[in-house]
Amino acid sequence: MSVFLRKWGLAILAFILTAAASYWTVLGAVPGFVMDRAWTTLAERGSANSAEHVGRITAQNQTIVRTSPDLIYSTCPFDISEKPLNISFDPIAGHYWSITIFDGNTDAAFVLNDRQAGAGPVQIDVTHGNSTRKNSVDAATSLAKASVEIPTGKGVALLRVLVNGEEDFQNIDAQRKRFKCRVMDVTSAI
Amino acid sequence: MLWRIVILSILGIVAGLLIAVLQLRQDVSALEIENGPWNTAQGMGSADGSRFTRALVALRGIMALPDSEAIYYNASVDSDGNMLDGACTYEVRGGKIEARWWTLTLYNVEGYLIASEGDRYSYGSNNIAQEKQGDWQITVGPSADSDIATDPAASFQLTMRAYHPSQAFLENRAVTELPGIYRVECPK
Repeated sequence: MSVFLRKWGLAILAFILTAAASYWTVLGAVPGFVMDRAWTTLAERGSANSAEHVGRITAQNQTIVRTSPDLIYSTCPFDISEKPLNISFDPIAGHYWSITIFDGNTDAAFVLNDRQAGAGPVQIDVTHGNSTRKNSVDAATSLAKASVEIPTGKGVALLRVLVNGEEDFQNIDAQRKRFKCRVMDVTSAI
Repeated sequence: MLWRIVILSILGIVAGLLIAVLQLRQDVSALEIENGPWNTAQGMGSADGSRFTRALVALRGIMALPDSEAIYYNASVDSDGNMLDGACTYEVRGGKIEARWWTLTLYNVEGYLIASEGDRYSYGSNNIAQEKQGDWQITVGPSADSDIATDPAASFQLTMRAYHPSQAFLENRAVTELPGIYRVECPK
């Protein structure tokens, strides 16, 4: 072993390991940090554990990057660290729509769309837990009444509805406002 | 010996931090799967994505849908590899896209819509007649008759969203045929 390696070998190894560890840590921390800021923005704009129905996205009213002007959004920033959340919705016929549950790390834990849900009312209960059960994002079970578990106390439920212009928006705006969320009494949780 | 380890450990932490910050300063065109002028990644919007993808998507396109619901592509260059320039006019030409519906949306480099007369932010399969879905073209540029409007003073990016992509599309996202972006004219 050369003199250089004897002197610096362990130090170089420490450099490589700490560089990899800090790189890995930063990348892992970013989604949670960004989601926390987004959650706060949404909760300040509406309020936590209730739905806010955003109008059509324009250059003048956008607050989140890369929102789609072809969709209308209803948001529900939720905090289930103490009580579960219930989301309810009556499907809108003839339109693409989806409800996505994002956890506090920006990961979609669950998605339900118009084709999966059918015509009946939708009920989704969201609880906080660390079980290993995976909430399938394209589950084909009884999706109109789903139970979703996420690993973080906070998250966001997001309704997207495809609209085809202003007239279409006016026609369906009242219907999409049937997207509601509320915290549940623990005794009524699934 | 110990002081060498301590100093290089501190330098290592700083180096890792700097590399992460530099990587995350890139836009979504840094996503690892390339298809012509378009970039995408596996597992956007879900825990299945790589650590880098999840961090970049959180910063540049938070609350993306998972793959089964939508595939996202982003272009910041045209089909010849030149940066998309809002002063220039482009034709975007494509064929049938194997998805339930799709849209093309123009954003500035920060990821926000650009104000335009008539709110011409996007164009998609809903705007194209059924018989033309297999062979269509649209214009992107600063003129008032463009299908999607640009800001002549700024660069831009195009995002393509394909909802409910076919299984073949999902499995071949790096090679499936996507719309081409062709520069038609540019002011001298």
